[in-house]
Amino acid sequence: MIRFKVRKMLHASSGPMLLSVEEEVSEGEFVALYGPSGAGKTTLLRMIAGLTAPDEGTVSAGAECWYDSRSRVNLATRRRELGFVFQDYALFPHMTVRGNLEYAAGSRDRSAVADELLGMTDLRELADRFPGALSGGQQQRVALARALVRKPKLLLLDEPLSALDRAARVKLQDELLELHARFRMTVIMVSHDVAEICRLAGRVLSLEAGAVVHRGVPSDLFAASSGGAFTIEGEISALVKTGAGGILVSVVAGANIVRVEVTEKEGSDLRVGKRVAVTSELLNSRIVKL
Amino acid sequence: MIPTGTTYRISPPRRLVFLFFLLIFTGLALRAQTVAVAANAQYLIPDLTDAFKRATGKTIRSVVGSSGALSSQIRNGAPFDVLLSADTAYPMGLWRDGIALDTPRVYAFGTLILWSKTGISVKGGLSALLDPAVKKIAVANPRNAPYGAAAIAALQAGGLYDAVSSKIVYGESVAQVNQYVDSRAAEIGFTSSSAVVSAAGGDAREWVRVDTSLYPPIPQAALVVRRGSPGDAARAREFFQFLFTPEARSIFLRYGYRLP
Amino acid sequence: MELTSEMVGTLLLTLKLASATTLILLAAGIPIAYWIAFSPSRLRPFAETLISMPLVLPPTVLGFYFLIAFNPAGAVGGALASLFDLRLVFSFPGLVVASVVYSLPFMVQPLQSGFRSIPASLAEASATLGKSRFQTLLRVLLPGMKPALLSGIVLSFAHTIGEFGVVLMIGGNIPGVTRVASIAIYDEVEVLHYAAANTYALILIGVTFSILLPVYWKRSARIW
Repeated sequence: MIRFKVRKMLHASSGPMLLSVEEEVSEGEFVALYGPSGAGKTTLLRMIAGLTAPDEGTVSAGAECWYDSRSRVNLATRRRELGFVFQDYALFPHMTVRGNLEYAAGSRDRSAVADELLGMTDLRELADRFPGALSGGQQQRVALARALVRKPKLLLLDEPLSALDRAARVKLQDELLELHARFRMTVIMVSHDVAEICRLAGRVLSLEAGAVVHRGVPSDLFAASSGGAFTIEGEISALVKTGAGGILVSVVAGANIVRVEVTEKEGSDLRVGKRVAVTSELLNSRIVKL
Repeated sequence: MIPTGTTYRISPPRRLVFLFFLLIFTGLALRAQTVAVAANAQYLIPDLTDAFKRATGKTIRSVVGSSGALSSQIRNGAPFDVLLSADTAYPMGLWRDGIALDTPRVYAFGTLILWSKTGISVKGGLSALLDPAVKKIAVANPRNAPYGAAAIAALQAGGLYDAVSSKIVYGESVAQVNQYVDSRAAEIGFTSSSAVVSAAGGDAREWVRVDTSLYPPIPQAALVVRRGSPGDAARAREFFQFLFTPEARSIFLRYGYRLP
Repeated sequence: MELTSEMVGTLLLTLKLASATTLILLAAGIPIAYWIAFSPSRLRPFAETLISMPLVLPPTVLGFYFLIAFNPAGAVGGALASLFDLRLVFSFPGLVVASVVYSLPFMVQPLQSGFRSIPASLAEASATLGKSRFQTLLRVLLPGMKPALLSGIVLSFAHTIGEFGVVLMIGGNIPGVTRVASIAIYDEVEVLHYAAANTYALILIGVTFSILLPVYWKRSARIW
């Protein structure tokens, strides 16, 4: 069980923001951290890993105390048994795929451990390549395999699939599910892809401006987030002023374009290219499987 | 059509530039004479130029360096009017090459001094070098500094060279030897009398004259550099000739030199 | 061009000084650059400033203080002399110490930018894999900044060869011990031995050109 109760003042571009989260994650659980960028998701993940120090609070894993501001405990990251997958993968560029895994394995039967994970993640054929010669999806698999080499009880994923195309993303989601089923480790994943969260996570924490605003089963959360509304995510493709003093917003979601009219005031901070969620209260569909 | 005449007009910015150069050139023309002084003579040069000013009302500037460096600079056109060398070889070389206006003339003989500031008793002369407290002996570079050559000659004549040669460190000139001895970086060193007589020298218990029979005399010659206008040469000659007046000679004596 | 055995000795001594200085600088420069690159300490700008000062201060400033501090009658020099029988004025170790201080920025600055060029996530990833900082330094950071290491080594080496002012002030010009090539050139010019000065100078030009070239060669090769 991972327990954390942390507070930290963040200095975002929009000014100071207090990140304050208290939560328990049970063993084997797959939890997603969801929310707009700048909400503090990555910082929270980094505080659990010990890469960023909270201002105050506690972090513990089972009976082990990792961080306690009052007793001045701050266990070094390397002593916290966890795996971490970075958004930019953070593969060591001067080591081959196998080298990356063997480095993680340390001294004990490193090639055997590396072999096992290479097989499991379908990377055997790429073992002697350097990260620079791999596609994004392949690099992500290596990063995942490397994080699992030490068989951590806790796996932290920072937007692991955000940079991949849909096909690679779906494939890796499958793999993640498989690995989770196999190792039964606790997973905390930062993501803003609703579909991905619904597919992978058993529970979701929705953060906004440093605080958890919703928590629950993803399907319930996303379905209920606007009183039984239907939410689609997409990117603004056009903003057109209408004669009635409103703005017609075009949102591209997958292959569809949704048009929504908003008042000028509501639309004042909308820009072309921004990601938004469109919720429609007229519909009452409840399909969440993707 | 052939122009019958051309008026050169200097535009305002050019006029400024012109004025600037004019100032520089007139500044050069009116400048004081410059005497290039070998390191050993630097201590007496203020007295010498003061005396010259009292006698003639004219100001002399001085530049200090090793005789070798100064000669080399003169060869390459350095703006020095008179050279007070620490030897005769460099002035003779300049004379041979037509860079000197007149034959060089010996203005004084240098006196070699053994000097220590670390409490080593020097009164016994060169035997002080055998004191076990002596770890480093500062000597001016014998290749280009006459006092260095004299020191090596004295060590050889005194039969001490082989015993102490491993302790010798070389200063670029006697000025650097003085610096090594004064900062106590070297326990003992060979320098010129002028250094120890001047303020830098200090306590009379710290130094001794090296027996003059142990080294060949150190004749120091001066010359007038061939450069500039006849007026420059005349002014330079005036200072050169001043070096041989009773007044100047008394200053050389006071700083421990012997006279020709 | 005539090469006497004295010249060979002087040139070898120069290379020995540059090699010793570079090795020590490498050993000292890595932790210093690491600290400067990663420490959140408030002292960091002071340390950075101090290390950069030899770039702008005349070497005579350093030479002067070394002469004062290291002479056996001074506090530091006295302690060194009585404790270790070590003399830093007029000695090879003294030149090494002076050169290390004098060339410090030429090692530390490339290494510092080398450390900074490596994405922070690489060191963090290594930590999440249970590796100590030392292991991370050795296996992840240093191998990832080979061009910076090469620059640091070559620049320190070349700069030490080019050192003159400090050596002139505290070396004592002892053949085989402290008379390095730059001093020898000065000496030869002073006694009007232009041919000998020319020999030394041409060799130094050749040596420095051939050790600097690989650095810039590599740089342009990476751009193209």
